Amino acid sequence: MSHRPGRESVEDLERRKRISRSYLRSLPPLEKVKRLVQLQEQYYQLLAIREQNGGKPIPERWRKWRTARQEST
Amino acid sequence: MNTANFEKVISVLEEMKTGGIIEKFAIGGAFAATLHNEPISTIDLDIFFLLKEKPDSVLLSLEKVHDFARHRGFSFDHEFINIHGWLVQFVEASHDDLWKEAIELADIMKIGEFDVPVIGCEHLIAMWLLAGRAKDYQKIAVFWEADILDLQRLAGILERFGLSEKWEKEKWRLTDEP
Repeated sequence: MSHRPGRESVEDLERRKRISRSYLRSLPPLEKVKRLVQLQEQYYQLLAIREQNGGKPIPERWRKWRTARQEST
Repeated sequence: MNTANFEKVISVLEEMKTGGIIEKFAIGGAFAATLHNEPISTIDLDIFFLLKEKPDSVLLSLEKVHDFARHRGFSFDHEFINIHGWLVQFVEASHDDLWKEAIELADIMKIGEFDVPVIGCEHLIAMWLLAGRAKDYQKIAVFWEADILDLQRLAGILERFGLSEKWEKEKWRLTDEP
């Protein structure tokens, strides 16, 4: 039996999305950079897991990103 | 990786300016979108810049930048320079009037200790509209939804660079309405 979200839950999701985005927008620039770094690391992990599980290989540009980060540490 | 590394990148850009390698620069692309609005996943930091002397060709325009990178020991390829762990893409802007204006009129944003030029929201919209890839329209839509644009300023830029017609044609993408 399929479950379709009701109008109220969709509205609630949209409301929460607006609050979250508004919060992110209000952060100072350096905090946004910090969040971006976290986002990059999470995204790379997703790509790496996908590759490990036999999916598409990590794109070349993301490999370059990884190498650059490793060289800097 | 921490934000201190990012401040080091800004310091290097300032050094390039005071050293006469570049005349002016401004952060653009998805990184500028992150600073104006919310973080967007991107691997690189786009730096639009103008040289002190106009280059004879696009290829020559990066020569001084690459010489600088070599001298400082930053690794680089045809696309990026690795500056303290950030992949920086330098885009010489003198051949494009929209890019030039975007640098000249960039917003100045306080980032840590630095006053950093960041291409303004409305110029970013015009640049993305001109590029016209799916990911560019997505970024335009996010800005539109965030309601952070000065529409009068945007209209002026689109008019000046002959993009008003394209904007009218493509702005249906910004709404969920059929």
